Amino acid sequence: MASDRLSAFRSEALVHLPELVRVALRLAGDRSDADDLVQETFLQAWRSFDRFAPGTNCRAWLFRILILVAHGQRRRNGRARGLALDDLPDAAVAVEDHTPDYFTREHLLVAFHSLAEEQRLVVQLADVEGLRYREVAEALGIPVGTVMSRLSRARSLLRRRLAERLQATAPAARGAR
Amino acid sequence: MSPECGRALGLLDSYLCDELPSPEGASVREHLAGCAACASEIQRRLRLRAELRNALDGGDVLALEARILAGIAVEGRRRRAIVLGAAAAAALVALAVLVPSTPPSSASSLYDEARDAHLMCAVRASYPSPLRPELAAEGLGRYASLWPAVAAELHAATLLSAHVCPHGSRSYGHVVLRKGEHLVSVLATDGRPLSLPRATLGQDRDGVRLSAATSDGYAAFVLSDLDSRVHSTISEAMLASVLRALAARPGRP
Repeated sequence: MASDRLSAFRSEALVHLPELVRVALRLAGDRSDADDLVQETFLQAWRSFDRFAPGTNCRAWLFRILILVAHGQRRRNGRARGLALDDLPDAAVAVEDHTPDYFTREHLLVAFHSLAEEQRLVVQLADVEGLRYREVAEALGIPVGTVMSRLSRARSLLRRRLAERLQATAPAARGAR
Repeated sequence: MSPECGRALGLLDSYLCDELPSPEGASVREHLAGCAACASEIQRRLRLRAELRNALDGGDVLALEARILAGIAVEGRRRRAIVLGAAAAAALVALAVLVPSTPPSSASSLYDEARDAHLMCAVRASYPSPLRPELAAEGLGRYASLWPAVAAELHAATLLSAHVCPHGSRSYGHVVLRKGEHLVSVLATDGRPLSLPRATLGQDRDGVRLSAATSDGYAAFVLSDLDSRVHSTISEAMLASVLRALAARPGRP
């Protein structure tokens, strides 16, 4: 029955709405575009919900749709490039193992947004939304090994950029005391 | 830094994600138990994740949920085979959720009651019975599927309050949303017991009627399944009164 299908869709898919919005905000840049992106994602999910097997991973499936929708929209809008879903070349950056003791939300946001979009995406999916590595791989359509190497570089770079940001603002912070 | 610390630090993030195979996980756990520096680092990484989660918060999603449900209902209507059933179900469920009602005695007393109920909510900001937000979102979503004008108003809107206003012999479902600097008010009335045979509801989207009025900073809608003449009488008079009262209200949002 249609109402059963809607009920299942709400309990399996719509419960992930807040997570989808958080990631869409990073992909779209503002709330209005993010809402449009998420709405289109759920409409596509609804259209193919009959093919979704109950008990399998709905969250990763929704993220996969979201990313493909974002990718398609960018291509249609003539953006310079879509989302790079393949691996990034190795950056010649030393591994940063240490997290700063003190930082503000602003420091963190600046550091986070200084990462490449593909790096922000894996960090957000794994460390903010709590997806398993294999779920991230499914969502992005890349191998698990690629997720792990990209995550490792992205987390390390985030710590480094955070430390750099703190250094850059340290004189001002001292002056404010 | 010892080689053990170097190895543990390289595994810490996967350890936090519970992604390490058990022998490696156990060795990291053992190292953390005896190494204050690495134990301190894992705390800092936990804090970084928590801060990132807070910083990337997506805010309220209720209005978006309503839009999505509206879109889904519209999808359903495109499939002609289920058009009639879906529209009827949407109207009936939304009205049932938002507005338990008793029959009014006449169109004019219904108008008086509706106006007073809306004024009480919108102008006096008196909200007697809260409505669970998920029910309100569901109701709004279903209405929005019937009325594109409401769907447009829901775009990027934040739910401020949803409640049932009992007044006179009836109850009114009332939802207030904020959209930018504006308020959107949706009042639902149910006239089924008054005049219409139930079958009318399911025939097409015109089974439910909409009236809208706006002033600067405020939009009000009346949705009902009353017949068009009664609906128009009530809506015009009620909306005009509400908007006049709002315009005269000091310090309105």
